[in-house]
Amino acid sequence: MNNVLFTWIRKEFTDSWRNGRLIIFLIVCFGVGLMNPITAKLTPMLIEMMQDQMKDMGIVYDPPTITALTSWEQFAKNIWIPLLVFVLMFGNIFTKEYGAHTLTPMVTKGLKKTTILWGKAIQLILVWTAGYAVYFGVTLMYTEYYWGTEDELMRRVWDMTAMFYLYSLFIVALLVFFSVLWKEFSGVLVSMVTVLGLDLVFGMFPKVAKVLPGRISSPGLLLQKGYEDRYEYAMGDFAVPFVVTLVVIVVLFVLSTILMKRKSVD
Amino acid sequence: MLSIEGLYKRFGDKEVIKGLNFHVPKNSIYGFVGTNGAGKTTTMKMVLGLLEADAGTILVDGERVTYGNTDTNRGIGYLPDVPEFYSFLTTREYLALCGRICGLSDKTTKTRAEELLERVGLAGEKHRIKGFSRGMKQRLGIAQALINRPKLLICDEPTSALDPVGRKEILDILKEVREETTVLFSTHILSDVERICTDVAFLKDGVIALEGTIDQVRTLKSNGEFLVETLNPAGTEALCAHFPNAKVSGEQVVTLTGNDDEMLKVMAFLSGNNIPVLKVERAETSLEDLFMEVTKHE
Amino acid sequence: MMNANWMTLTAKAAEFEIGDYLPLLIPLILVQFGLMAYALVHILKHDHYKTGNRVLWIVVSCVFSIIGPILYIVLGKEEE
Repeated sequence: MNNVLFTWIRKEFTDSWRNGRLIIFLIVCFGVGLMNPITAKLTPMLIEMMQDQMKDMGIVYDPPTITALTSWEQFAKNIWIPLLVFVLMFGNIFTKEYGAHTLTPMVTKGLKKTTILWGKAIQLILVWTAGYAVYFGVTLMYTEYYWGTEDELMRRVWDMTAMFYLYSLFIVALLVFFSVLWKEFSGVLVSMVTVLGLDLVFGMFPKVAKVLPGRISSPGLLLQKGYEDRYEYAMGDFAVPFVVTLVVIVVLFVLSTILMKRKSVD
Repeated sequence: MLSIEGLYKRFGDKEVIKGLNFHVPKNSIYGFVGTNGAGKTTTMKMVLGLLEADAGTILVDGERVTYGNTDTNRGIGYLPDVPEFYSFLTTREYLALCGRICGLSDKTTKTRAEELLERVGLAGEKHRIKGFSRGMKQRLGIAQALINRPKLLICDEPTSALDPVGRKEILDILKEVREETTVLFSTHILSDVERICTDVAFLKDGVIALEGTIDQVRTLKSNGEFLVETLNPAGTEALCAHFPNAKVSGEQVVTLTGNDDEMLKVMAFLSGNNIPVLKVERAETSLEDLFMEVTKHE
Repeated sequence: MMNANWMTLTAKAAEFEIGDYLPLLIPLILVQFGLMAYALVHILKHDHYKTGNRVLWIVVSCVFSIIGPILYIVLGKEEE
């Protein structure tokens, strides 16, 4: 292991630990993860309440049975929250150093700019992975405790978790890339929103949508009814955007490394 | 130690550095003087490879500086004008980080850090850098710049934002480190230069207007004037009556021009006629006057 | 109307086994109040915020459970 890179990553973690950001982020992931089984658990109660009112209006329908699926559907629906919080809490780890001129003494001592880039990128990936694992772990633990997930469903859960993980790495790669390009965090955010917006717009054309990273951003699709018999087909459907996203991530990191060498960081 | 030749730099359509040449001798304390916006910081950043020069060569100890990750930085310590450090670390942790980046062993860094903290007067500081005053940050800045025993220490206006006490502390530290390194520091405070520098260069309009050792620069402008201040008006009158080139230049002050012989004659006249005097002194041009003259706009 | 809803909800909750909910509710309450306490202490200890002011953040942190303190930490809390 590169000694300087390791030192640099350790400095990044000291920062996020002492500022309280790391622990807060993990607690948030825990809290949001907890909301999934809670929502599932409370659904029958709310439905019954609704039914009392509906009955007054003369509408009668069967209450849905709550299973592990309900909890996992919530998991897929809320998966954006930890990612959004992550980007807002950790997204400025490049730009805040540009603004504070804290990198100047480091660079003039011979710290390579690529080491700065990779140290921060690795820190981002590690923190996000930890938060995502907490989010997934909490939902899994409670869902198993209350309902138990059958093997067939569990397979899909793993698939969608892995799929969204790759998508989240795409977000991290965008974050790193724009942090090399811009000096201000606002510029980074606007650029990211623009790219994701474009992804969404082009996603409306079915032909292009099949290859865009945005395709794997809605993991809940894998849980939808009707996919039972089309499961293998579905996985084939996601294979292309999966590979495209992977390639885009690699390209973004390579470009970031090249551009970082030319960047003025003081 | 450092030599710059034919350096050019423009920002947009504004040419800031226009063919700069200067040489910093080994073990000197080199004062780099110029008004605000004269291009001092720009020059220093080019020496550090933080900015790309449009033309020209910069040699540090014979090695050429390139933009980006320049190897010459291993031999340079840099103190920025407003040094900023990681506020969540303590001074010792920060110096340990610097040492590791320089590739020093942890043991070397530790002893060196203690030695430097002692020297800059921060040895008792156990808290995080958050909440340090300007002066403390400036002193820590010197410590971090010296951690790897650089051959050249570059300080960008190290004293301009400090009070007189803080300024004196920094100047004393710079004077002390001269034994182990060469110091280049930029400033617009002339008294700082007079206090510690051995060499000086005036930067004006992107070129060096004047360069040399302090003594050279001082005598350059001295044109053999000397002053006599008498105790009473009668003495002044007597002097003026006897020496035709004497000019009254103040209350009971007479300015005379001439070489050492002339000065001795004046002194003989004074003692021969029992004229009481307050002082007889050579008029030395102060750096302040010199600077004003060099940088004034035609 | 609102009141009646809550009473029904409470009644329904009583019908369910409360013990069944405890493993979920206890950590939820801990997270909720932990974040709120952290945010409130931070708000009161500082008087400069990235955006907003003290009153706004106190209200937001107390009224919106979990989301409120997160909003403060992300949008209001100043970098050291």
